[in-house]
Amino acid sequence: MEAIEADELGRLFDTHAPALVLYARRRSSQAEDLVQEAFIKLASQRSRPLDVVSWLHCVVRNAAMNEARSARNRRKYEQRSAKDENWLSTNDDRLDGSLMVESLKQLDLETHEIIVARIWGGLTFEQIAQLQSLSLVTVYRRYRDGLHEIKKMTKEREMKNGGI
Amino acid sequence: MVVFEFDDTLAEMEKKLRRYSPAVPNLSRDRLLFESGKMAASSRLRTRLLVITNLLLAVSTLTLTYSLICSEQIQFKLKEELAKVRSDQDLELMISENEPVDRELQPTSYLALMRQADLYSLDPMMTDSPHSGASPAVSTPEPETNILSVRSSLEF
Repeated sequence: MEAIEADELGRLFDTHAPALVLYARRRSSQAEDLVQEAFIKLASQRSRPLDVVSWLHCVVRNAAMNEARSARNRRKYEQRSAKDENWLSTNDDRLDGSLMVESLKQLDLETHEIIVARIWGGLTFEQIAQLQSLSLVTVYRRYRDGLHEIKKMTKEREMKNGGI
Repeated sequence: MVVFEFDDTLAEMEKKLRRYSPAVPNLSRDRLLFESGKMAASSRLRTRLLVITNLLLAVSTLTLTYSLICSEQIQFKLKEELAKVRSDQDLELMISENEPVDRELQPTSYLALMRQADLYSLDPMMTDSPHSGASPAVSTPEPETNILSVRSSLEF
């Protein structure tokens, strides 16, 4: 199988890079750099991976996990995450992005990754199960519970904001 | 393939989440393409260097092997020649030991000087003198001595 051409690399980058950054944000303070490196690694592959999107998620996840092992980087991340970066954007004025980001941040790490990989990464439950080294049923259950939790949190916050 | 079904509220939540998109202010497509192009170029260069190095290594190995074979052959031939020469010399030596050869004398050797000075007569060991027959000292028999006549001539 041939290597990936520049045009296709650009197209893949436009389509998947934002979701990959969101996927790695909880583990790494340098999610953008990790995603760039993952794409460069993809470009340097002699043959194209069988499932490019899963491969990219896997590379980004491994790199983020390696980076998170360093205590120094963890400290940096804590300082940076305190800045409250904007993780999500929307064109719909009726939606509150910060509310959704706060809900996502409240989820446990694996559930966050499952939801991001499924909704914005476009991966199937089978691909996510393989990526996270979990059973299919566990992945589905976590996804469902995560959505429930987000829904509950957003409802609580909406009620709170409405009450004020 | 396993199909999972959600209740309506979860499906609605999923739909709501999909209306958001991840925000990535620090991602640069141009940087990615530049970096990947640079890496591809360096990779091509590395591959070429690797191919050239391998070719040189293969040629060197072949040359060395050929040289080794040639030197082995030369050594074998030399050993054969040496053995032949040695066997010839041994044969000549054996012949020379069995058949006495009239060797030419050195001009300063003892025998040559003796011959030159004709001093064979002085050396009682030299029996093979060419002049031994003519030498009076050697060939002349001692005169017979009469003991009685000698006694009479003696005066005490």
